[in-house]
Amino acid sequence: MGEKREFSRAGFAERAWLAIEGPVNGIVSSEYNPFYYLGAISIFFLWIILVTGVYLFLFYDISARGAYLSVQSLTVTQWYLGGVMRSFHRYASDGLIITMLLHAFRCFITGRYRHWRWLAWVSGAAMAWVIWIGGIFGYWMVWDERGKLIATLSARMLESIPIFGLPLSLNFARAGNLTDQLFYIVLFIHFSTAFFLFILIMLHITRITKAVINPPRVVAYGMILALLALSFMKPAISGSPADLKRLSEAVPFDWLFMFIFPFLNWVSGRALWGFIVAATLIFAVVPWLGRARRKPPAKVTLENCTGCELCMEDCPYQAITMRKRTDGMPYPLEAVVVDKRCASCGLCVGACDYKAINLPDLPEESVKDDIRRLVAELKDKGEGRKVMVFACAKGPWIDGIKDGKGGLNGYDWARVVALPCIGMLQPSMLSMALDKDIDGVFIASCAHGDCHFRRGNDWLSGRLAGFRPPVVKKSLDRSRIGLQYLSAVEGDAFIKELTAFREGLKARS
Amino acid sequence: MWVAGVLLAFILPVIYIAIKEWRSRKASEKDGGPPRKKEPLNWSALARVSVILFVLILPSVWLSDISYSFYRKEDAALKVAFKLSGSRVADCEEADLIKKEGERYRRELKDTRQVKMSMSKLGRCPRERNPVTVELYMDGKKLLDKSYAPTGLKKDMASYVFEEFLIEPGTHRVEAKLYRSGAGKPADFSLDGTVGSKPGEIRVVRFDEKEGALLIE
Repeated sequence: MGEKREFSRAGFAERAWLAIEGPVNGIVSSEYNPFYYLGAISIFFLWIILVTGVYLFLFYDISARGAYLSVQSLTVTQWYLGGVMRSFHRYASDGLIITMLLHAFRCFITGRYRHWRWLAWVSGAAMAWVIWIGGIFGYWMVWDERGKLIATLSARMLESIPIFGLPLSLNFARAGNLTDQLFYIVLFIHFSTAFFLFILIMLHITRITKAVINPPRVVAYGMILALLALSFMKPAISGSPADLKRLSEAVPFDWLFMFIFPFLNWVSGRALWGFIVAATLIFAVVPWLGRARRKPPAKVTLENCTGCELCMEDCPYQAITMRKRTDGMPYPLEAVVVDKRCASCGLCVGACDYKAINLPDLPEESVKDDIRRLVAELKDKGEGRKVMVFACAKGPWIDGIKDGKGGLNGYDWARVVALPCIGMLQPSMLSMALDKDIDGVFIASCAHGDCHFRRGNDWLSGRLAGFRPPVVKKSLDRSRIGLQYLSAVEGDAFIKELTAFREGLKARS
Repeated sequence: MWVAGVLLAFILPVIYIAIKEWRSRKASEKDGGPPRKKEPLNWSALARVSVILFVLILPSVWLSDISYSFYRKEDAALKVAFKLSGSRVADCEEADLIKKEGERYRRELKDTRQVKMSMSKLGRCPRERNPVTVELYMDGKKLLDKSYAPTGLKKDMASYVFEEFLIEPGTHRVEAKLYRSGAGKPADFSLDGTVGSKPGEIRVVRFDEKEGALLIE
């Protein structure tokens, strides 16, 4: 066995970000905190874009002469439905960019992009491309002055790629050159982006167990209300119709989609492509840059494995597969760990009641030894209520985790056992801690809905509530167990809640 | 009409959701047992989440209001834009070849009844075209001297010409020469005229196939 696992504190940037998210929990509770559902919110925006897009398509005239008029007619004469649909389409697209960027930034800042998450990160980069391309072509379709400028600039960029032999700009040189076919092609590209996006989403979540692809109902309704408010506050409208006899004047630009074009004022299209490709590649290889040392993957002890599949079901990254038994034991299946996908989070350890799977740098027995040692230490402390704390290392950064010894400065009545993820907490560990001389067990999980390794705190709640195996024994006094969801920056709240929990124990005695 | 639209679009869905939520709440109250999977909607959370999401998307309103202009207000533009096929690099009567091959085919079919059309013979007729070269002068100053290669894998299709020049508004003398017959040959078409342009205006030098001439539009 190698060295025992040491935990490190969240970096400054991560703590700063968590400090921003924290107050939102105070406003809406962590259950509905939009920052915890940025990916799901982005997908919901996509659904809104798709539904409203289909409605707009029903009224869209796919022709050089009719495109502008059809959009304008829909916006003006049918403002109460078509106009609102158009605004929804527009603001949902902008919202998609905002939440997508926040989602990427959040994953980066919280270190959720390396190792086993590389596929989600790289496919996310591909999705960003498709979303931007779809949005840019969407603006062409309106064919107002803004659409003309965007078409002119994007054509200029496309022409700078040597594979495009025909200058696209020729289509906009004079009114006589503009054909209906061009609008068919643009519409096809715009529509096909939705198709590619849904394929990429499947790839994005392919290695994620029970991926959250729908936001909570409250958040979904909230999105619709927010879009509705924006749609009435500032409806999306067209500018003046595109006039090919004049240069495009200053037009309101959607900077979330078009931010790249102003660079054409200073650099050539080819140089800009070079920059975009380089930026994309750098973004895509980020998971492999400055790679942090990976923790050793979980190991299966085959003689103990019953093939019950619980570890496979709980593994958040599909790192455990089941295969036909190879050792002649009377069970049909055995668990196998795919090392490259293993996050070493210990969720599988929490799911296994048979000591069949372990983290090499934090074996179940070593955790239980720590529990025994700390329980014994607490017993020697004499009078007063004693509390054993199980803390997620990604949750509040407290003394017991810092030094790895389990002590909590100034709180002699408590001892801390740190786990990489609170989902590693086995029911048997709880039973062991709730020794007759220990008055209560306080569980400090990371924020609800924001498990660093995904779902660990959900699985634990399920085990405590008795509906997710392995369940916590019914005979355990639930009033002696406290559970709090706290982020890495809520150390003070941890102390407050722990003290209140202990006070509660005292009151009951 | 629009009242009906508003009703259809918003009020009916809102009524539907409200009734559904009310029924779901009633059902959960009646059960009183274990927690239902679908809990009643938390209206106060909904209001707060809506505000947060509104604030989150709000920058898009501001970010789509900032104007941008690629061109300066005082700019005018002269574009050279047209499609034209250069002449064939080598003279080859494709129709004559097809005719001859057709005759051979018929003759041999009659004699042997085992004949094949030789497509390779037809393919020997070179189809490659010359590039189209454009020279453009404005007020005696050369703006453009560029050859545009024919498109197509066999370089047998038209050349596409597109260039854009930002010019000072006013009256300018424009001369253009168009070569489509290969290097060293005299210009096939030429243009010499004056063009007046106002700020923001676009003038186009193009080739009109019907008239067979370069024109300013």
